[in-house]
Amino acid sequence: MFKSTQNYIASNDLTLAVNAAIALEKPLLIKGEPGTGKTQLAEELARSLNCKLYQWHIKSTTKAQQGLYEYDAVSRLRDSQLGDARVHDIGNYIVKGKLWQAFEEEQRPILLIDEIDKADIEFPNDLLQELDKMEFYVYETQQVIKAKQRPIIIITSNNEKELPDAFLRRCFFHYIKFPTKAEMEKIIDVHHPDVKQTLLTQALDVFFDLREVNGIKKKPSTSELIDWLKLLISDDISQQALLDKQSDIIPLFGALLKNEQDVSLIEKLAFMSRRNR
Amino acid sequence: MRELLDLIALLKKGVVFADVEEFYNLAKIVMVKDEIYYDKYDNAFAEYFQGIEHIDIFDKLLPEDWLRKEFEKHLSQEEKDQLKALGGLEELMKTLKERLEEQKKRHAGGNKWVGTGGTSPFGAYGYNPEGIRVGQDKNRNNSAVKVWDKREFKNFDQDRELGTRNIKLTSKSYVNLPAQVPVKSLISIRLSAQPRKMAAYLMCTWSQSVTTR
Repeated sequence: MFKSTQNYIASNDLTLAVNAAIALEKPLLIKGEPGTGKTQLAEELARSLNCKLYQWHIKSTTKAQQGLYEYDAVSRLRDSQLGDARVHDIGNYIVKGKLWQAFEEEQRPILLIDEIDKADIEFPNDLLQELDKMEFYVYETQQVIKAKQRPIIIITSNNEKELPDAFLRRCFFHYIKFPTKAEMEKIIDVHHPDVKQTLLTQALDVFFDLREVNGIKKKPSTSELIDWLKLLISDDISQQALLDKQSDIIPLFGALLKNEQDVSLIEKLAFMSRRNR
Repeated sequence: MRELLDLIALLKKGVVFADVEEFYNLAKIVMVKDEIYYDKYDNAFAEYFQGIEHIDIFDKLLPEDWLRKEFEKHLSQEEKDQLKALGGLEELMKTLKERLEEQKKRHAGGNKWVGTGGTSPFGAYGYNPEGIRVGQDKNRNNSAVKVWDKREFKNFDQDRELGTRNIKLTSKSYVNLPAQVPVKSLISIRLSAQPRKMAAYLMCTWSQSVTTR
């Protein structure tokens, strides 16, 4: 049974989603704004269940076959030219992919397929049979690799592409909502347990107000808030500036706003509010 | 179809039990595959399960004596003594009936009439060790506003006005957006007769018909 650990605060519906996925042994698809702890979820889950974690980070060039295995034909050719004895067994040149490794584990492992939407649009469709039956066929050695224990599969997506229906049908889905102020306080408590309460409340107010600004291109996320707080804690002058609310410009906003347009927008708003005073 | 079977299997395994919100969460995990549908799901759920907490299926089925014994089991010794002071549970019920007839309008505070927030033995939201809860149909500790009524996912609904984020997504999507799905048809696709019975069974948590606080 999964629940929040010391380092990771999980909401009720997230723990329910994880437990449901474990109970029925189906993959769990997690979506959410960047920086809400999707990848971290798999790491914490592995820690709390005390099992091995296989991480497969998908790039735009990743093919589904790479998760299963790769056949290194070039090495085989080189070895045959050098007269190496290993050439005779084709199994020597099969490099196991993450899925194969996960299937071979004796104890049920966790497989994280990170950012599945980065790959080609057909990528999830290529994995359908493997996800369903947890087995696949190796053409070169004519074996069928079947999972000894069905691994817990966590799939994350940044919503850049729509995932095909056949794939979605085989997974459970959960959307991690952006944490509320109360939940955010708990999360910050985990990372910065000794931050002053006044600074924390003021910083949270500024942060959530910033997220509400219309027209901002990239809303600051949890990880950016944590970084910003870290900077504020180490820099007393900015801390003071934030607490005193002297200037309308947020101190050290470079940690929160990563876009030129956002920065200029905030500066404009600050200027306007100063003028209205 | 597959999702329905999965939901039933999960219910059988006892992943959630007798809790509307948990059931809402579980069904959402199994059935809804994209946050753009979350708002529709909320609406459908609210419409379908409206008022279900008020179903009192145990009302006529359980004998009164049994109810009374159950109730008394939950009282501490002092509460039992206090109850005796007021002449026992039966007496209390009779007095309640009489008071209700006497009282003409809503009342708050005070300690005789039936109302809210006071220390009279009758009413709700108040405090009296041997009081009877009247007119309050769920436990005070449960939140009044249900999660699906909050409509947190309104902005994700694809039929809403296109804002910056939505425009970005639509321009990136390879597939045409689906036509608007009316709420009623969503219900008929996703839910069928079978889970309704199970849902009704689960939904009616045993809430005590009387309480001391």
